Amino acid sequence: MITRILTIGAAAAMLVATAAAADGNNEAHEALATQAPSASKPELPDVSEADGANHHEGEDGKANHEGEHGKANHEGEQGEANHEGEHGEANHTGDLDEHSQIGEQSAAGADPAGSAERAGSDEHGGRSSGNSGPEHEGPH
Amino acid sequence: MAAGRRETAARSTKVPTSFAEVGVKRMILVLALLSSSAFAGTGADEHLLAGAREFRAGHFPEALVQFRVAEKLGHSNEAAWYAAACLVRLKRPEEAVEAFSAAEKRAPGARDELFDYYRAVACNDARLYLCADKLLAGVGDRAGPRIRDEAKKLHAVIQEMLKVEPPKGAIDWYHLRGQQAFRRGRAELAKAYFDEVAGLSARRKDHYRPAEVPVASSKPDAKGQRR
Repeated sequence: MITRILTIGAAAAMLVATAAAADGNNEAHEALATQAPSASKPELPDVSEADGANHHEGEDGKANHEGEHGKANHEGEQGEANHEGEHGEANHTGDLDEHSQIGEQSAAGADPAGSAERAGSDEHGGRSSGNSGPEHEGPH
Repeated sequence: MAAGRRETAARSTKVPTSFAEVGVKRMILVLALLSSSAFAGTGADEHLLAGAREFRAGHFPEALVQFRVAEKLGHSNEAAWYAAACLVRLKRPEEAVEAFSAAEKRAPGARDELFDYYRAVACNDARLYLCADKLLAGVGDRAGPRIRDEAKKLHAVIQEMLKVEPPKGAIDWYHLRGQQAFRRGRAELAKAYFDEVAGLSARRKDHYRPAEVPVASSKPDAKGQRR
């Protein structure tokens, strides 16, 4: 009798856990479908843009990675919160045009020789160098 | 005297509890294990639900934290896919490319067209167009009408762009990005860039710089960078 009760209890606990997992996945899937992003305009890069990226990486990107922002953004929960606080507004809109504008303005400010193309490069590739260049730089 | 000793020995080898008692004890142990695993799952599910709510509200950094916690607590690892999707919305495409790669290794069964769309956007934003092209080809009705249409539109633009022979400068760019990623110890990202190099090179008549992939045996230094 006791064995039966225990078995039923275990089965019920497993069912509850499974149902909760299914709920979480359904909710998350619906959220992803609702907030599906639009992609930026595809454009093949050129190695000259990478030179620009190097410039940013060497001067600003490195600093971001090793400095406060870089550390915070790459490490754990607090970092994510920081990311939101500092860059979230631009990101939250999900508006690619607005985001690109921020990137372009920032890159132009940071790099005297910065062209729109270069800003595009940083917007795409900058993350690897600390999501560096313009995104970090501009709003600060 | 000898008989007394034998009796004492027989008593000491007697099982102190009945078979039923042992069975109940074992069941209790099993139940405890099951309930502890169930509670661990429930904790992960709470974070999964919280992540979903944050994501829906457009709070992507908070959603990312919740999904990552769910990933750590849970055992299905499906949360890894959601975390990768957060990185797409946070405009961190290279990290997203890596995260999707990791998610696929951990929970390949969770992959579906919705995740493929997000992954394609990550590839596109990281300028990994061949990767995006491949993924978008598989996104259809199951992802829903809006995403299907977005995927179709983006796919058409990428295919149009790839009709032209890729310039040498583009291949050089991918080489450089791959090498940079490799030096930082980001093997998956480097691989993605070098795959792009191989694909683009194959689209040129002269097969410009097809496979100059660095040797993976070099050890990363203290900062995790490879020389």
